[in-house]
Amino acid sequence: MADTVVGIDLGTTLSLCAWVGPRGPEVVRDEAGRRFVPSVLSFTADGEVLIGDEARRRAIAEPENTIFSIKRLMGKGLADLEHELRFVPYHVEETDRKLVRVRVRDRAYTPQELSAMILREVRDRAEARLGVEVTRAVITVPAYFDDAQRQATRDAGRLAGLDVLRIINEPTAAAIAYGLDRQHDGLVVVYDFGGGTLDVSILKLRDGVFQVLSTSGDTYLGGDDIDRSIMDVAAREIATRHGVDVRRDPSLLQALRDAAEATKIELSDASSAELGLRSSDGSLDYRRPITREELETLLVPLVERSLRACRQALTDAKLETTQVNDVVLVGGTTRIPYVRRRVKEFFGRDPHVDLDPEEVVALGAAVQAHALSGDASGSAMQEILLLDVTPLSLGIDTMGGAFSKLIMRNSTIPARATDEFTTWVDGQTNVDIHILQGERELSKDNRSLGRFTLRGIPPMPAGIPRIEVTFLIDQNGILKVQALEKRSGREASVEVVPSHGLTNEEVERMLLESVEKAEEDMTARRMIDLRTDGEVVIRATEKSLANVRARLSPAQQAEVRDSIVALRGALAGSDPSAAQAALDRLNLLTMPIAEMQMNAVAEHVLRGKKLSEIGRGGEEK
Amino acid sequence: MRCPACGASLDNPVFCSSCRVLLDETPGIDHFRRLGLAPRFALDVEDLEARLIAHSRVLHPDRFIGRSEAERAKSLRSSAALNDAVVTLRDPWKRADYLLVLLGGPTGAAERRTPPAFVSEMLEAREAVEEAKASGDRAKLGELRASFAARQASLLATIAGQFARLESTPREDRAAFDALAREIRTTLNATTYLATLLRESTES
Repeated sequence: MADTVVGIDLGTTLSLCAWVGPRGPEVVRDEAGRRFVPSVLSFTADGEVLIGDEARRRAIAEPENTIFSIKRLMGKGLADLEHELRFVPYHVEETDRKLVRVRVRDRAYTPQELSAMILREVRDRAEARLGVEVTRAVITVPAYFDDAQRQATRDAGRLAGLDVLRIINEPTAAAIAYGLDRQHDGLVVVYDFGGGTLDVSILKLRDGVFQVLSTSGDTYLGGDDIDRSIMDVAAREIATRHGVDVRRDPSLLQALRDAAEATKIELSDASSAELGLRSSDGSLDYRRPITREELETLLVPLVERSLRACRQALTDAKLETTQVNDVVLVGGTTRIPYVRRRVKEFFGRDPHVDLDPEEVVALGAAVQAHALSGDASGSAMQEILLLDVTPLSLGIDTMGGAFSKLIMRNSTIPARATDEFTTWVDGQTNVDIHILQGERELSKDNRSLGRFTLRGIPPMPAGIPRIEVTFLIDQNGILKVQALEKRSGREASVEVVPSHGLTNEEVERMLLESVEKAEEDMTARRMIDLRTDGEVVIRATEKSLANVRARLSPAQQAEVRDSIVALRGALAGSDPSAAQAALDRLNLLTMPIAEMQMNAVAEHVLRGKKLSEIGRGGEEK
Repeated sequence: MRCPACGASLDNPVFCSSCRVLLDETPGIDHFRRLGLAPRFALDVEDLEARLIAHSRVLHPDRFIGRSEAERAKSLRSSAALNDAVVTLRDPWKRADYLLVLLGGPTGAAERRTPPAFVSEMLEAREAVEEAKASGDRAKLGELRASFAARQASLLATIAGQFARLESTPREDRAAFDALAREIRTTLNATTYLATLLRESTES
């Protein structure tokens, strides 16, 4: 059987697949003409797993056996999911490796396994429809997905029997679908207002190369919120007019949700529509006309929130709306005329609307898959290149709890960074490398990604080992960390375990905190650095003082000792400015001492250590 | 440089565009040579970005899907090294720090001093900041910040000039070279100090 490559949009609420056929990129439909596989799974009592529309219909009747929004759990630990778990009726547990699993009918499934079932359904449909084998795919993820979340998505693809050519960002896929890469260089804003999430991304396009400049959004803002607003209006009226509490009746509630959604969709084309709800026994017959204006009133606060995210993304990328060249709309919610109007006003330009906003990501993924597969050899498509960035800085914990960043946020990947560290304790044979992610100055305020120990360093005096730490992030954003002691050749490495991840919201919060707490952090960080530097200078001064004692007057010696005492005092305090001043004073005093010694000796005395010390680890036990 | 396989002239040290093959990394290749640049401080950032894109096009791991494991690993290493090189060269301070060591000058660890009289100047500046902060004199604090920023800019200009001289100093003239290299390092140390002071003198 021949095989083909596809692009898959594995969404929070809907998944779909596209391919590049003889007529160009198109979405794959099943025999019934359906494009979407709702990202919902339902486990029946007799062990069958329903996927898609069939599963969704069971959401209200069998909430604990019906799983939706599994994307929100990908690459997460339980600690990351506090917010999410309040919204899911199904049972989530944590394994000893800090991975979450969903327990359904006495079996536990990882989010990867569940996503793989959705991917397999998508794949099966494509194979049935296209009549060829589908073994290779490009899968899309939100731009803010971190290392662990991308790894989990890749694993899901593998479990579904797919060779995942590349994990690409959804906004980038959307821009590719419009062929913006072939038109002109410039800045592209992708406004993705879907069923459950809002993502705003800013991309830079240059010579066919895409770079993500910034992302922002709201992980709990989507079309579902609009449906809920309509439902609220109806539920209130039904309660007053008919004395019925819709919320107590699952089947009525499901019917109302469907009615609200249908009304919302109708109002995108018509200026008024009818919202109706009838109970099966006919006891309740609620009808009310709803105009587009009424709907728009309900939309105002939701759309305002989305525009705040746009503003944030622009601020992060240090851009003005006037610098934006293209605006691309993604997600079903952007079909609503009011949303389009507000986005247009905000950016001062007409957004691209030619492609179906719900298909555009899958179409772009298909184009990229086609280009990567080699099927497009020689064509213009092959020239697309995606340069992604890492959403948060990465580094390690160093002496005194300072976070030492190796790779800065928004660095283009693949990225590599190397830094050298040393020990702080004599005879230290083990060094703990603690890998962190975040923007704050102190390790404890950042997010732990994992740790490993470099063992078997031969005992050496503090400051002598040369420990080279290398971070390498591959093109899919997956991190590998290696530590090498250069004198002994001992080395250890780790590939970051996908146990933790961050939501867009958390990334935003971490960035915001890094700004809000910048001053506080800086003070604490400066004190740590000064203590380390100060200790080096004190040690060196004391050593050199012993060497040149004969040539210093007692008064000079006393002066140096006094400043050491003063520096020690200042270092114990919490005022970096005073500590720096005390350190400067000691440095001024020791300058003549240094000059007194021969160059080589002076070198030794003031050698100091630029290398930050990795304090932890200690002796081998 | 020429391709060891086909002998074609190379415009990229790790990729031969005529036989379309990834070459082994030249051991110890520096950031400048990696991008086809001479090791000089003066640099056109736009040109650097254009080179990044041109090189990424041929080296990126996406270009090696379906090729051998070894080729893919090479491409990942080379692309990561390319991005690392660009990050270093794009920023004037990082570029100066890197170039100085590359040319044989002292590292920041080996030479921790600042230019003569700089420490005393900073001790005074620090006192002025403390005073302005204590008396809540915002105008004065703003003035100080502006003066630090101006000093910072003039130090960077000095560094550019020093590099121009260093680059034209014959390497055989070891004494002159070493003196100049030390001067650059102490000036760089001063900019680091100023950057911290500038951060610390923002209003709370």
